[in-house]
Amino acid sequence: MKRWKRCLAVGLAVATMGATAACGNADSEKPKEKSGEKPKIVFWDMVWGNEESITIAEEMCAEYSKENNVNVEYQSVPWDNFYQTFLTAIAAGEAPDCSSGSSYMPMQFYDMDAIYPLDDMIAEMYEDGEIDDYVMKDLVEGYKYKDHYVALPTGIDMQVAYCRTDILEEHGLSVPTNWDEFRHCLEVLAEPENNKYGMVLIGNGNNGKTMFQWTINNGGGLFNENGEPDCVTDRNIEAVDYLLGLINDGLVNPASAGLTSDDSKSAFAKGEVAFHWGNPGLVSQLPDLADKIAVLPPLEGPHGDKASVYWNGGLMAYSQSEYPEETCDFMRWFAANMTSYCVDGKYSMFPVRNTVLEDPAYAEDPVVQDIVEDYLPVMKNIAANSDEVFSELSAVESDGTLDAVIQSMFTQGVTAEQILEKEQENLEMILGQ
Amino acid sequence: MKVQRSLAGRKRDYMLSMGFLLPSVILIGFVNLYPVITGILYSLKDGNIVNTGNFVGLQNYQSVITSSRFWNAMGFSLLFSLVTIIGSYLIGLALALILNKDVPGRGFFRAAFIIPWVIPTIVSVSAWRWLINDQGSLINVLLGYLNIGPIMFLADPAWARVTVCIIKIWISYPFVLISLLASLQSIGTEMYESARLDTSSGAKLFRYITLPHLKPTSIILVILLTVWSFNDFGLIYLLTGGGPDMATENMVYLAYLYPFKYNKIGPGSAIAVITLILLMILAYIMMKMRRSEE
Amino acid sequence: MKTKAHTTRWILFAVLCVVFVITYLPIFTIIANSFRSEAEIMAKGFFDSVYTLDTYKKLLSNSEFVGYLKNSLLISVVSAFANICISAFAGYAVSRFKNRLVNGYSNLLLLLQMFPLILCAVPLFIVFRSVNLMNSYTSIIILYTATSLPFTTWMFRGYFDEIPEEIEQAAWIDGCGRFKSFLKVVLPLSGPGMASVSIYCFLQGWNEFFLANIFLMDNAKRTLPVGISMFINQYSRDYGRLSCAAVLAMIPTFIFFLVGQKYIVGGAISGSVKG
Repeated sequence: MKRWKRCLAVGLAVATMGATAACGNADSEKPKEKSGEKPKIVFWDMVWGNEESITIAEEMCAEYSKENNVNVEYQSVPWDNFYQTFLTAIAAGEAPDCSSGSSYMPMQFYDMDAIYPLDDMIAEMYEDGEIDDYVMKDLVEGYKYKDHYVALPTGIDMQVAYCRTDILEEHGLSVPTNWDEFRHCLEVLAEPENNKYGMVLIGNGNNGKTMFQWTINNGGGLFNENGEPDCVTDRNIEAVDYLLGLINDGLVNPASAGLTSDDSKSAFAKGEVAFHWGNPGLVSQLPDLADKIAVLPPLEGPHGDKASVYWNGGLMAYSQSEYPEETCDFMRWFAANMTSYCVDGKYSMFPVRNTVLEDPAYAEDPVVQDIVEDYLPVMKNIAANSDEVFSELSAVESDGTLDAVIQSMFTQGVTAEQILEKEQENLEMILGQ
Repeated sequence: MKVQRSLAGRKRDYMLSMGFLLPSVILIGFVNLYPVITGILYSLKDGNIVNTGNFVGLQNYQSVITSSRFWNAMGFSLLFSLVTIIGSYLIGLALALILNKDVPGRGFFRAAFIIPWVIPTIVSVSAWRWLINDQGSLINVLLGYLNIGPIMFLADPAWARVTVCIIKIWISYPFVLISLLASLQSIGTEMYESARLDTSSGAKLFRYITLPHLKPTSIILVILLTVWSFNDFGLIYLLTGGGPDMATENMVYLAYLYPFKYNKIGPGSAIAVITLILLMILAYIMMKMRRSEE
Repeated sequence: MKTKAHTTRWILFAVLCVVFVITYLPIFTIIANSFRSEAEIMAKGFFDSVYTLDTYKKLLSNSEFVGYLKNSLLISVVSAFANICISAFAGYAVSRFKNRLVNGYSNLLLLLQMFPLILCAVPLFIVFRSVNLMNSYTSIIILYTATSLPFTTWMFRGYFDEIPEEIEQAAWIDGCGRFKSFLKVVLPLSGPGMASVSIYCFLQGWNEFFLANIFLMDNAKRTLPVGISMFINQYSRDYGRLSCAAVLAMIPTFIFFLVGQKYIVGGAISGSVKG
């Protein structure tokens, strides 16, 4: 009894005083850099491909660490809630040295003084001629923000349209080239009783991509030249009216509002839909169906427009880094050696370096040729029709509320103007106007 | 036998009471009071979590109150709380009355029914999601046998609201059940006996003895349920993310989006402050009701 | 008359069974799914599936997931322990000393239940950053200890109220002070109270999502609920894995309720509802 009491008393004392200190040792494992050791660089990479891509990237970092006077620590970051992960890490002083990320993240973080500009590195790359390795030089310049280079591009994400040629053939349809033909295909394909439709109008977890895709395709866009939200325009109304027509006539999956891009992809793989808008790496992710999938060139709108939306993806360095120069050297090396990462890791973006695209896996892929021919020349970013990109686009591109606009299209009796006014209100809220 | 306590003793007690409270006061001060005051200050600022920015007066409140999204969120918060309270109270009460009787398997049921309240939200959400996710999910298959549906539980705005409320009721009713059961068991049988002598009917016993006895517990329960459902973040975040079409977005979720998604602390803090004021008003009214009862 | 009562009993029993089935439908299906392969969950019914432990083996050999389990365990245990130490004293003060200060404080605790955590989250974030505690177990343990504190203080108060002061008076006559009589007499008598408070705190820490999601950004430090939500999305809707992870997350809850059901049910009630 007595011993028990003493134990209790000691326990209480230890706990009251050391409730915080007791667990402090668990945190102190983060080694403070000791002199004589190699500098350590932390690289946070988004998941861009399959599980193997993570292993490949880890090996790349290990290889680089072996050959250079630096230790690169690789960390894979899931897309789920990634924006908060980066934002809180920066705010907490726990930012990595470099990372990949969403398209407009570097601009936004630059405005928060969190990005280390890559001006010197890119100037060197111009001198060395390394920039010539890029498919389009515009991509590198696309990351010039407030006169500084805030990231180094590694890929392009696009909404590429795919179709199942086998399903189209089965129904005696040819590959559609414009909005009218596309609608005709959907009319033929819709079999509500078998839960089969031409397409899913992705309305969930897609960060409003569907809306950008259709308005920009029609020569519209959600912003005016000054970068202010400007949704209720003729071209946008026309695009939304077209979609409402599809919905009201039962031509798209009525559960679309709750379906994600993954749902659409699996429906596409199972043959439940014949069209799917997805990332440029889609076909390599569905190898069994490779000969049944074709790229659909951007559809031609009623005014002859056929634009397509894209997102730049790249590597950025952080101002919190203790070793910015080493970090830049590493990023430059990583971006120049991505062939295996892209080919074997099933990179979901479209690679932007010729060295990668010259690899047989890309060079001999008809899908890649189609994308180069049909999509690259008509690409527009989500800032369309603004003259310049702006950092608030980062909140726009990762915001789920833009999906709400697609979801509201499934409400009975809603008009295109109402939908676009809602989109306008959402954008104004995000942009803080 | 009573020990007389001197004035000096009482003074010592006073000091001692402070000593006993000290660790708690320090912790609460650091984790609750200080942040609440700072949070109120942040609601007047225009920065982000990296740099909190400058004071801008009541601008954040103004922009919040004039946005339709805020009113939508407040509407859903109120609806969600109201439905949850009514639903879980009625189910909890009914089950408590049953379990207070001599029913077979009573001990088992009493233990079993508490589980939904104590498992992690992520588990509840994962479990429910599989049941209701799409046309082919289990509940829709079952409804199909009855020639109903399929229902888009999470894709249709109205159904999504219903679904979130049902799951919240599923989570909360066990707490009502065990609280009311404990209260019921403290009613002495003598009370019923003496009432029965007055030849009261079962319904009258319930109306005049059981219900008044449950009233104090019920008021506390309603306050707790209001606060818990008003401040529920996990369920909304994990199940619907506020969608579809913002149908299930509540005030707390919106207050979270501002600092961590839109990179602005001001409006988020303003919404949180408004939530707090609203809750305090509600609680005050309920406490008043309780006092007047006593 | 007797048969009528008999029938009512069984009708009530049937009602309970129906409620039980509805309540447990999600839980049973997730347990069943955790033993089926992903392909079978998608394509087959419950009765023609093969049930194996494969998913569990895969999951428990995944170091990331095991890390989440360990983190959750460490954080929940330490915060429950810290909480007991602090709230037992506070609960005793609230129960025994009836002066203005104590009463005011106990009302404040009641009020604190109402504060939306989101209001405190941003300021706490900034404070923890300035003392370099972000992304640490310490930060989250402090938060969990504090957020359960109001409720557990009231729980303790409920227990201590039931221990008559006369028992302590005997110790005072022997020359013990309040502090000693609390440690020597009151605490040993409130074992069930401590059990229920620690279970309550443990489960709060084990289940909590919101704060862990914000305050721990390093994947190696994430707790189970956040880990599951991230981990699952990464492999896009693998229900086998998700179910399995969810079942593992439920296990402590079940164990605690089988073992400590008697204490916690009584405890939670007498503490909260007495108010």
